[in-house]
Amino acid sequence: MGEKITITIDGEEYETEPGKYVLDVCKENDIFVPNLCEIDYIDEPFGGCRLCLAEIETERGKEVTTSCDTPVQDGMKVTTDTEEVEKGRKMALELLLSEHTGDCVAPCSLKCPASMDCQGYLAHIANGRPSEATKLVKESSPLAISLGRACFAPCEDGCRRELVEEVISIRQLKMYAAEKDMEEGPWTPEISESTGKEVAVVGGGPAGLTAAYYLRLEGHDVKIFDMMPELGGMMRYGIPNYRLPNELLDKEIEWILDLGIEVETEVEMGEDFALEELRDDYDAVFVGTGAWESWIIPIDGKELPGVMGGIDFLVDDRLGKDIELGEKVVVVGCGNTAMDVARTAVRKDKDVTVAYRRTEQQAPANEEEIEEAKEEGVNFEFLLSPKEILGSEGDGIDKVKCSRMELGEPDESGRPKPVEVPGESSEIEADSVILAIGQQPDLEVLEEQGLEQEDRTLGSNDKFQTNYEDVFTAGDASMGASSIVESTGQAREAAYALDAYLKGELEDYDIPDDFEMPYGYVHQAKVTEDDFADYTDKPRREMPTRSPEERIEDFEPIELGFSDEDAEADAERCLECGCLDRYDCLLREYAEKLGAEQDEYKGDKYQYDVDESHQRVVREPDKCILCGSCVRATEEVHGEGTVQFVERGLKTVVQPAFGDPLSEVDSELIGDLAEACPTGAFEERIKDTKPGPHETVKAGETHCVGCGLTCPAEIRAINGRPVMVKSVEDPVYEGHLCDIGKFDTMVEGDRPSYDEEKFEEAGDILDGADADILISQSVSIEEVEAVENLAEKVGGKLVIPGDIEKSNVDAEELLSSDQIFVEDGVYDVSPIFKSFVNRAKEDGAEIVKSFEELEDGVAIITEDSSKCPDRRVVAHEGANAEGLVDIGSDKLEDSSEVVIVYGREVENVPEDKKIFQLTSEKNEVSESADVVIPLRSWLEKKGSVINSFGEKVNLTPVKATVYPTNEEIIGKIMETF
Amino acid sequence: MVKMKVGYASCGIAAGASEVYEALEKSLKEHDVDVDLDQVGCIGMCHNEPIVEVEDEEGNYKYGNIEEEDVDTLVEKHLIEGNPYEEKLISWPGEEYDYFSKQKKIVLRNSGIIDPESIEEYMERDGYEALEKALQMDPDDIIQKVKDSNLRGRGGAGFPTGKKWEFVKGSEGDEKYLVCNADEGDPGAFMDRSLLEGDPHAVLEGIIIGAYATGATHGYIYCRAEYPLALERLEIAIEKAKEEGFLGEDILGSGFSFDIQIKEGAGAFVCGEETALMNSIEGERGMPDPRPPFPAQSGLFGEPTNINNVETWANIPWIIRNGAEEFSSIGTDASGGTKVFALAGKVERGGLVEVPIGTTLEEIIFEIGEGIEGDNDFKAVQLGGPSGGCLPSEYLDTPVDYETLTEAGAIMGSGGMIVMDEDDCMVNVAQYFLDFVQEESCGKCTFCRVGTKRLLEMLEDFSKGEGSMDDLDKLKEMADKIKKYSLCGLGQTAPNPVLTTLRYFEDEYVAHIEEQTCPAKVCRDLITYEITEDCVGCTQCAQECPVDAISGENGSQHEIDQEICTTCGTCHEVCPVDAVEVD
Repeated sequence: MGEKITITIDGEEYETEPGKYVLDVCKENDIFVPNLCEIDYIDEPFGGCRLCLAEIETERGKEVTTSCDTPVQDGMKVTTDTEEVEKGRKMALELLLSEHTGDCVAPCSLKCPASMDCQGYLAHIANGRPSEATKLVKESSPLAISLGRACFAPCEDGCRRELVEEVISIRQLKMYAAEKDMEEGPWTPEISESTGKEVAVVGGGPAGLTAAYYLRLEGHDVKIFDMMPELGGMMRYGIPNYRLPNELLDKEIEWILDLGIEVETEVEMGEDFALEELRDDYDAVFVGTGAWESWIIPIDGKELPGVMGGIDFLVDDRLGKDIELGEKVVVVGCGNTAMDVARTAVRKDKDVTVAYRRTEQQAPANEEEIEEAKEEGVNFEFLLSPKEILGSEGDGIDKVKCSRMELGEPDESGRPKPVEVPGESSEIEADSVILAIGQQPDLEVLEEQGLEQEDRTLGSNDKFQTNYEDVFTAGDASMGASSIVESTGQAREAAYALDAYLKGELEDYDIPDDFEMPYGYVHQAKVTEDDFADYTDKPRREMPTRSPEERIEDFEPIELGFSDEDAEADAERCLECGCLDRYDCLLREYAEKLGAEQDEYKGDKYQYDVDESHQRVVREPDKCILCGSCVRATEEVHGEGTVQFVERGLKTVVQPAFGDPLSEVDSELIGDLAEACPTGAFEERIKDTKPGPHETVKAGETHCVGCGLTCPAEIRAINGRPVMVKSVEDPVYEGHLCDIGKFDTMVEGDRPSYDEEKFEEAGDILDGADADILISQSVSIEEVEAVENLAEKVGGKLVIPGDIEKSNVDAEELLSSDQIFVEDGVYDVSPIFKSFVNRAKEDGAEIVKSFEELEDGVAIITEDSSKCPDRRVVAHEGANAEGLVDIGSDKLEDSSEVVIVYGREVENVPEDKKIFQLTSEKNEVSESADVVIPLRSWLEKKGSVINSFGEKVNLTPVKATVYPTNEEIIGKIMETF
Repeated sequence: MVKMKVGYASCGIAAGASEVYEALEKSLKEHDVDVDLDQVGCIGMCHNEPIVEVEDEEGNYKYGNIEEEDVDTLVEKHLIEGNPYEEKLISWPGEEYDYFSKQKKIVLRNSGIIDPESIEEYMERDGYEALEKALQMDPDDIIQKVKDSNLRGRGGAGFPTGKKWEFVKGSEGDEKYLVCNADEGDPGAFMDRSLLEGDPHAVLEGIIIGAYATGATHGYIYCRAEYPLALERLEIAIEKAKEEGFLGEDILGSGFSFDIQIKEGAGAFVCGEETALMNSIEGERGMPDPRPPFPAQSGLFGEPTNINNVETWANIPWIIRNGAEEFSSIGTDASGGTKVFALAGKVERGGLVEVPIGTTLEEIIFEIGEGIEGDNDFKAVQLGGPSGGCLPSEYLDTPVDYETLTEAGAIMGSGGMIVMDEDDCMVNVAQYFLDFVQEESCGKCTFCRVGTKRLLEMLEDFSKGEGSMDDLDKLKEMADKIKKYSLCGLGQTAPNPVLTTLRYFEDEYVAHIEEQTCPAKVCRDLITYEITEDCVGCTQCAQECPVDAISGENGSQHEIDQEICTTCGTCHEVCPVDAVEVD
């Protein structure tokens, strides 16, 4: 090297070396240039995706071209953001999107107004982790219990399981998880450091509580003002106890308030305080005052005594007011409120008729609600439109006169419009009429406070800001009467906008796409029953409920709750429609960034089957964008790709040889395919029953102990549980990790239980006995010292398997060697050795076929090599084989009565002796061992090993644990005899 | 002795040359006539195949469209009676066929004349003289000579050959390779095949000279497996050249060694692209790589590689023998020599044509090709296969050279020349070529793999009368970006047929989109067939209709049920009285 050249990118000068490509320099300097087919550790550009366009000017002229394959030249000028460049990139991306099929996010989530990750929490439930499910729900709304009980569950409308047999009970599963979490001591979030800002929240209903929660989490001081005696708003006063029990609502609200939120109840804006005062006293105000006024239709007789609004009725009832209700009650309307009204009236032993001008199918109420109301004895009159309430001021209501309706042409909502059948009318006898046709905010109050209106609601801009810059709004006040889930979803976004305002960042704040247009990109073509023809029917688990006869006697909850088994079984039915690569799909990231439209170019797509044969990697060719990274990454290690391109034109596909399923592919680099894939064509799934997908976070970096190579590895965790192992970019190891490391060694297995009594049992065995110790090669130097002490005390030998030779050549020397011989069996220890050999070969090393041909080169030999050349790297099977060489002997004493087996990878354990095993993971030995004591796993312990290059490598714990250290365990054992 | 030659290239064989040859052998035996009967390569007159030549003391007689049953008559008349078989005669001494008189044969000079399997016949016509001469020259002088000749790559791109050789010679490598690109894949192109079938030694001689000049020690001829005859004759040629010492160790005692092997391609169009071709030779999937590095710097197995097309190689011996000046005096200032074209389509006399570069399209199509078949008018000519473009009649006076064609939106390409008349729909033509290319895309780069497919789908919509003028703008935009941003030549040229038909025949596109009509009456979704009063009720159409859409009594006018009709046009074709009209 040495020679330096200068190129200009977007007006800035950068120094670089010849031999590099323009994209390299952009990457090194964090200049955004999208690219999907470049692999950092592979020098030759591929040039397939065509996304990395840039305008490049040399003395030969200016042209827009790909930057990945344009070598840098002194004096070159690069512009990465011209209109032409952006157009070209966008088109490339849109073309890729036009052949990419799949769902970024499952349809249930897309249907959820609060954008909840339904697939994600169902997965946690299926995996037996209700508390983690609840935590996930609470990323979208703190009202997990309320929603679990009383959400209208639009998610279930999106559920594709219906194409198999029945939808998943998504709402009831949320209910199960949330209540279980609450029972077992609820998960509680951490609150950010105090910002010193104060926010007043007016209204303690779904919107107010949600806003208060997320604002509190951001570290603001929050106080809720509510006009009612208790918080909860419509959840408390609009929804009857049999649907959302007070007791549970109280717990949920208490849990929110316990985060340090202040409350003042029975104070009403406009009566007890003015908005102006709050604006003076607080840094910002959130108005979530809801919609408490019933709509009264202009109908003759509406002023008669016995006519009331639906919500007024429900609120008064909740407040325990004495309501004069006649025997015959007519409820007008068929929404969820109307159902709540009718079913409340039934519980007061009244004769209830619901009159609705459209048909049952068109009714806005949930099917389930109508069904249950019918079971409870509510009468329904569909296609009947109340025209007049007959009666007198003195005698009250007599009847309701209605017109018979029939369905006509579709109206604005797309539903057929009910039209009167001329001359046909009908009368329903009534003592009370409850008009449950809608609600609206109290506009008068809002107006008095100086807030502007819009469409009979409180007006706000697209950042939820009202005409006062410091006043934000969401929920029913801003949308008109809506559902809990709509209010809570909107309030969450409003809270984040308000938070941005408080931080002075509102101007740059974008409401995330996942709210405006949920999660951006969906690519699935139309899905039909045929797509699920292979699935076995597993009908949904029925939620146990009280019988209609029983439940109309009181207001106690109808739903009794799922058992763990039912909940897990139902959640397991989830089809996992959403992409496993949801959290790190580069295609989606770019699509959002470049504003690419998935349907700009439409046309043929080829559909292939999903290959789920491999335990940990799923292959979905429909999502492949042919970047070839998987082919090249594995080719770089193996010399040939684990998968290959086949076919031509748009039919081109990447697949294993002969289209074999992944499980049958003879390669230890299946995980590498997923790591290389920038999108969801090869996806890694975690070991659980349901993979989620969940966002993982980096728990830390350590080294794989699968063999003597000790490749660097990153451990990723979900809620503190390590679940995934990823390769680490490294100059020596590049970015590979074989399947042994990714899926086996570094993933924790089932640990034996920790029990103090076991120590005594161990002491009994060891006391006075002759004992040898069989130790695994994958044990740290520090542990070895402790085990040596133990060996001394028991007077036995410390035995390591086999005759272990030491390496005397390091990685650098191997890579720069002129000649290399690789003994058979080395690649079985780790295929990554092949990567070293291939790189050396690229740098000119000759690969020879026998020891004899080796003149001045390096041999890579196995542990049981018959020959030990002068310069060698030994492919050790354990991470610390080199560290053990000097201490071990290779044979157990015949005389020893007891064998202590230390470490999980120990083989050839004798059967005729007493076995005392110390291991971090149960295995075959544990089944017959006399005593088993658990050890810390590699993810939990600190220590060092000496690898196959003779280098001392420190391993870092990446997981918190309460277990004693392994050295402490040994110490403890030594005290027992 | 009297010589008889049968044009025995793939084209002749397809027309029945092998049957004719066998019949001739038999007839000569039966008539007990002793002549020297030979199989020769392509004579160049596809329109007259099978062709039999008789060379006697009077001179050369060419007989065209000879069928098996004509053979005895030919033998009896010409060989026994001594009178030419006039009905089949197309050229005779003193009356040379004007098809040839407009041409200038350099690379095809032996094709159709010598037995391609005989090195002796090649050598009789000065074969391997150039090699002997070259081996006595300094390699740099050879390169200079090639540079001076103004020879440019005949594969299509027209890069100056001498300059390329110079790069290869100047590049450092452990070894240097040479490749002959014989992966001719354009539909309608058969120049390279004919040349390899007709005069393989000319190609081989050029290659050996090139290897000596650039220092290559090993060469590959990459030829598609669909050319079995070419492969067979190449193998024979290589074998014979080795026997004669023109190939192998220490060639003609010069100390220079070079060996060559044939690599059969599996027929992927993209393997004509040099980097894809080299990947294929290396045993990898035939996928192009970004350039640079160019093959001259880092090609086959990472070593400097000199890759040239079949026709380019075949020019080399001529240049060495006749001199650079002689060569450059043919053609234009920018480009010396001749170019072989495969003239096909709606032309009266199609075939293999070799003309000086710079000859106009008019001369080729109307003088050599004798214009359009039948009474139709010329509409356009597609140059350069699916990578090329369509030029309308205004461009007939265009001289055929690299620059002029590129400017007009077409390319010289490897030499395909397809003539179209007024019955050809330009939307359909564009669709045809694009369909070919998108199927042949290697799948590597986005613009080519997905872009060409989407482009095709838009054309398909247009041909169904679907789509809008906005879509037409979108089409242009996309075609433009595919051209600019595709990785290799395949994608970069794929939109050419679309862009040129749009440039010269936009009104046809507009007619499809806005009026839902196909002016040439080709696009099946936009036409209807009607039976006119001229119908005599012969029932032919009703019998042939594949979907039984035609009904009518014997002897009375028939009728087509438009609901059932798939506008396949069979009725139109079979009607003996032209009573089926297309609208």
